[in-house]
Amino acid sequence: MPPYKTFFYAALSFLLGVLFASVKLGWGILVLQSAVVFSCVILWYVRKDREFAYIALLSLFLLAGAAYCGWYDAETEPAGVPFGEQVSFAGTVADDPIEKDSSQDLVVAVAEPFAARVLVRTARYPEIPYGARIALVGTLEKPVPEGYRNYLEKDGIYAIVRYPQISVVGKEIGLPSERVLLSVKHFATDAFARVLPGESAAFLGGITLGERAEFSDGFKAAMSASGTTHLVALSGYNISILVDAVLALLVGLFRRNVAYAFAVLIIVGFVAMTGAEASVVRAALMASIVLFGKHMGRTHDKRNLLLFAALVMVFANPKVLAFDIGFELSFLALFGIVFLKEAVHDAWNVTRAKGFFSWRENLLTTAAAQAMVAPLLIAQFGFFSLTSLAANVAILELIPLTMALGFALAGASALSYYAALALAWVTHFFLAAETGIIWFFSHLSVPISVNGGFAFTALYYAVIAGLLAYAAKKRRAALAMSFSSPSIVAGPHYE
Amino acid sequence: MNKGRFEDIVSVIYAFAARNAGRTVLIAAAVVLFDVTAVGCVVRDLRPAPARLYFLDVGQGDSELVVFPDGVKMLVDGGPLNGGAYKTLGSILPPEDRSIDVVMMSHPEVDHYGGLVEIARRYRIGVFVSNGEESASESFKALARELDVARVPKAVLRAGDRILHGGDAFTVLSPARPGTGGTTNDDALVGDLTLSGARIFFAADADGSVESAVLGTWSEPVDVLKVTHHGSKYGTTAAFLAATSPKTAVIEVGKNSYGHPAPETLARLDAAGTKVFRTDQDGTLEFAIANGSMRVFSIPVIE
Repeated sequence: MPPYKTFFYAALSFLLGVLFASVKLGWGILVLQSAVVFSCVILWYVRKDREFAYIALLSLFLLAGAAYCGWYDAETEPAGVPFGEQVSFAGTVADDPIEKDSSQDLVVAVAEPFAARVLVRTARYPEIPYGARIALVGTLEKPVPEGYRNYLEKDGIYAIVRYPQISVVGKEIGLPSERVLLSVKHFATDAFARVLPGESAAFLGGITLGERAEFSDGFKAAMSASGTTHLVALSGYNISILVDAVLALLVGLFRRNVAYAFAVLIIVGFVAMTGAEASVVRAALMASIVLFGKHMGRTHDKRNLLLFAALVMVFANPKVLAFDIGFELSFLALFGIVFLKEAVHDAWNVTRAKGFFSWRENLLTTAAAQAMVAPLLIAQFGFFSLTSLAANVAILELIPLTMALGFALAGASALSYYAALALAWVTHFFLAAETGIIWFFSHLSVPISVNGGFAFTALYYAVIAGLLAYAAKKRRAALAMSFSSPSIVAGPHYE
Repeated sequence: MNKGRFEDIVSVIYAFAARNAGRTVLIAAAVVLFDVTAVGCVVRDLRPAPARLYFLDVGQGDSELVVFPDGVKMLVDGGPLNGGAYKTLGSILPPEDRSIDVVMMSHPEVDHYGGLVEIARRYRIGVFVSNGEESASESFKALARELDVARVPKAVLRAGDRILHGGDAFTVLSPARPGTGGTTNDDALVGDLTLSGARIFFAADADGSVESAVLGTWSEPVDVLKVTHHGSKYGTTAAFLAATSPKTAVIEVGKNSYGHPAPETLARLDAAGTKVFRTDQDGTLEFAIANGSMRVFSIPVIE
């Protein structure tokens, strides 16, 4: 068996093992593993193909995945957290605080008298910055319900404290480099806030830096209803725009390899700036995949690259696979963009011309991504909006330019308030159009909320798998044709 | 410009247009749209506009914006921390307008200054006016810090002081001296504003004793009354209503546990024949005042 296949089956088994163990289906692993081994042995016997024996062997990685998940749980679950009691403890603010209208949420890495990450909700003021060392007195609670607990645990948070007594005892802890990068981010969001109306400033902060704290509930609902939330989630999409722009600039100046090295450096710096949250690290990995994927011809390379990225992230934190909706959405969407979109091109001979305002390109990309995530969106949020296709086609082409204006705006405000104000005037034009489109389509939303359960979802993905297989077959046939009949290709020269 | 150089530029543009027909149409459309908007904004600012008075729906708290006919702005209070006053301002004012000439804090209670923290962070403020009192709360310190960072000049006013603009004037009627009242509410800046011929009374959170003290030296018919203390029963006395006979009144109130607005106050306003508007029912209110007439709108605000 070639190495790429070995990797594919091993990685897939490992991930499935982690998934089953995460949702506490230990027995499911044994059932699945025996089923795989059993069917492989039969296929080996019937088809006389030893490859199936390898697959049976590699399915042992299911157990490895489950074991890793169990080990990780045991290793990270903090011991000796005095839940339900009023205790005093000390720790360091470990992330950029999330500021809300009248409160702020801090993730505090507690060192004594117990070791755990704790979510602290406290008054909006005084603002407590990243790296501050604080002493607290409060009552530790376990997060409820279970969904919320899983959501927090994937970020390593096992306890919540609401409105404790807080005193800041020192400010100079935390990574200096991270403090510098966070201050760059805050400089940019402050600049947006000074020169743009609230909603525009919030939207610009979202698409350029993934800042979501300032969105009003109404606007969040509008983005959800119009299927445009992904724009402000700092997905691989946003970062790949950034990288594309940088590449376009650098390829003209340097050799290709140097330009790519710079692009990777910029991704790393950007990730650090936005707080290196798991979601942004993932987005950066995704953007890198898109970056390299564009220059990879072979499908199995892309497949393994995607799998490799998932493997890296699941190794770092196995909880993301089952409990991080962002992780799931972004992988499914990228899968759609990389494979399903190509399949549509191949299966129905859809032209690759982008069309006016890139409508065809954006429509196909959105449709492919949305088709992959639709069942998940329905399961998670209760609906999936049909008009999100139209909303995205209308808005996507404007985003890169708006992002560029946003970064220029932040840069200009370092020089002069009035330069930033002038640029804001142009930027607002686009932002108003984009937020207008979001509001418009949120009213036009055609929500679909059929939830057919597991069987329906399985059938749905089976149909997509069928389409992929059909397209692959057609692609192979086309390839074979072009190899086997050179005379047709070279036809006109015989005249 | 050198003629040859100019022709070169024109020919480059023609060549670009010939190669990229679709893109050229887009760029041309964008330029035209941009021009029309720019000219539109300039024309809009030149046109004489009616004076406007807004009562911002900030939930349980106070925030009023005065826009003089020439566009000069005065904001009285900013609502509570979660009142979203800056968002409402963003949808009231044109998008490029990032300054407020006068910000007045009637008194340092968080349902009056909380929203000013974000406003100070986001808008250029010409002068910050208050009664000179301060609060020890962390949110007030945050406001003071934002004002210091932006180097906003500060002014402390008391009864008899006036803010003049054009033919209009804001006259402070209370407190006589800062810190004379028993509670913070009674030290609040209370005053009347003449705006394009209409008279508006800003009562802040002052109670009946302040109203009667004001009536000792002042008595005018009022067109718009900002009802004191979110409609509390301790203010808006029958004597005050008899002396001022307000045509309209606005109660700035949201969800609260104090029983605001009080049924007694509503009954007194009703008996005085005053037309009452409420921000909890009508949302953000706009009064457009020009040529001796006044029109009231409930304006939609994007949240």
